[in-house]
Amino acid sequence: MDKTTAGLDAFLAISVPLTGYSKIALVATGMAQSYLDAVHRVIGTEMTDEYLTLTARILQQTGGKEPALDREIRQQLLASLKYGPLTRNIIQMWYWGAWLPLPPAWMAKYGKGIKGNENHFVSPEAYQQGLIWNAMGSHPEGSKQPGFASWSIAPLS
Amino acid sequence: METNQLISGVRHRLIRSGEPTLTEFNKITTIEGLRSHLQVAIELEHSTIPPYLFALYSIRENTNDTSARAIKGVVMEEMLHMILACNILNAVGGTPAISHKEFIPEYPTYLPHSNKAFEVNLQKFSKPAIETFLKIEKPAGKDAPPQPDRYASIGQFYEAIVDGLKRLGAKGNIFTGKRSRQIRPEQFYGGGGGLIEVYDLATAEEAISEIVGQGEGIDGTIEDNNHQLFGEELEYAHYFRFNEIHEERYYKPTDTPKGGPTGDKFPVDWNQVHNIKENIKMKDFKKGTEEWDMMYRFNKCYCDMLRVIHQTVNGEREKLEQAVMMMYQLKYLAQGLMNVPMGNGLYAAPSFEYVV
Repeated sequence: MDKTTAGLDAFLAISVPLTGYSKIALVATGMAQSYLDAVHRVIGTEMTDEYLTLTARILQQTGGKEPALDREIRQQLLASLKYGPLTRNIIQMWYWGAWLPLPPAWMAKYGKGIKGNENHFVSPEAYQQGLIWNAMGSHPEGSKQPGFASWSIAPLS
Repeated sequence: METNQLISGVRHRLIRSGEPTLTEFNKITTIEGLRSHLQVAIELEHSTIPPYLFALYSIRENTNDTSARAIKGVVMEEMLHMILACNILNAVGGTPAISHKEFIPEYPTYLPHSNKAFEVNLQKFSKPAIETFLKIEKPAGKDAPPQPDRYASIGQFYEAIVDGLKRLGAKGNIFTGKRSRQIRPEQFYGGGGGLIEVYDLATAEEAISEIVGQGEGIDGTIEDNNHQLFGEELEYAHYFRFNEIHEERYYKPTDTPKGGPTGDKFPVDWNQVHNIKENIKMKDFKKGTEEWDMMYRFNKCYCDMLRVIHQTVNGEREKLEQAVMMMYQLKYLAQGLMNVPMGNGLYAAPSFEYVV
């Protein structure tokens, strides 16, 4: 298994508890590689690898089981000054399809010389594939249309 | 809607321009025989939809626009044909059945009531797939007289139905179905071509010529009948639209079926296609896995949609809107499946199987 695939597997593995969606549902968006590439592009390979090593360890130590997994994600990732903003960005990327700017305080401490931290959609497809639409039983405006007059019918599922 | 006698007359001549190819063997002589042929017509039109959709979905987003548009146009007309066949069956007092297990073919399959000359597979967008599509839409051959109840082309099959409608109609009124069971044009919002309400021989023939004309073109030309009759923007019959993809060349309006396309280059990129598994089945995955669940979800949505269409053509025509919502849903589910690797270089795809 080459490094890219290994990185993708680790990225998907932690994305499952972070998003609350199954691995296949995330794979089905077709966006996993693009999102991982976006992380690489903005924070660089070194910090990405460091982050994915940490998330792999969390998954391994907890055996992926609740409530330990939830606790460790909160303590080691979300509460961390370094990894918290990053983790929130990954979650938001899956839901919005967009990279949101990392906060100025984080940039000052960890992000010297980082480029591409502006608010941007990862790609036009990312906008369509955001999990938020599925989560709220809607569809991305101007795309993935649900059919004429569908608004008059209760959601199917 | 009043029938335009002139248009019906013109259409009538257009579909019967050749020598009759019917033999004594496959004449329809009873109302039951007519109804069962029309049920087969519905199944026949439907059986082409999964292979066309499978190929259409397999094209990568934002690539092969011209091919995708051509296939999408054809598949929307096949949906129209299916509803037209339901209208004719309802008009002669029948009840369309489209949500039972046997309604969905198991691919690979032969076309219903065909002479079994070729098999239809669920194949990704490729030259072999387009070759199969060309066989499906092949214009009626004068050199291939139909065998008893086995037809060499879709055109021959419909010829038998028109013949039966006339023979039985001459003995008494066969159009006994309730008008309220007809799907009307205003319900068929945004579909391909014109939906026709059927209540007599003229409207039934009009519906059939819409089906046959779009599919196979009018004898000796590459255009479909919409263009010739109504001066609509030039649109070629299905066979010729697929042939443009196959030959990677556009037809010119002056081209003939024999001569083939001689226009500009038709851009096709055979590589911009998801590498999905041909004739995939749910049993290719272990039951209970997320992958299997996703395959199931697509099939469930597909079968639920057929159930809603069944209700639509059996007296609840306002349900069509709900079916349309499900059609969009199907597309998104299929696109999701095609991102799911199977571990052997191939990717998952919709299997179009019957589930409850």
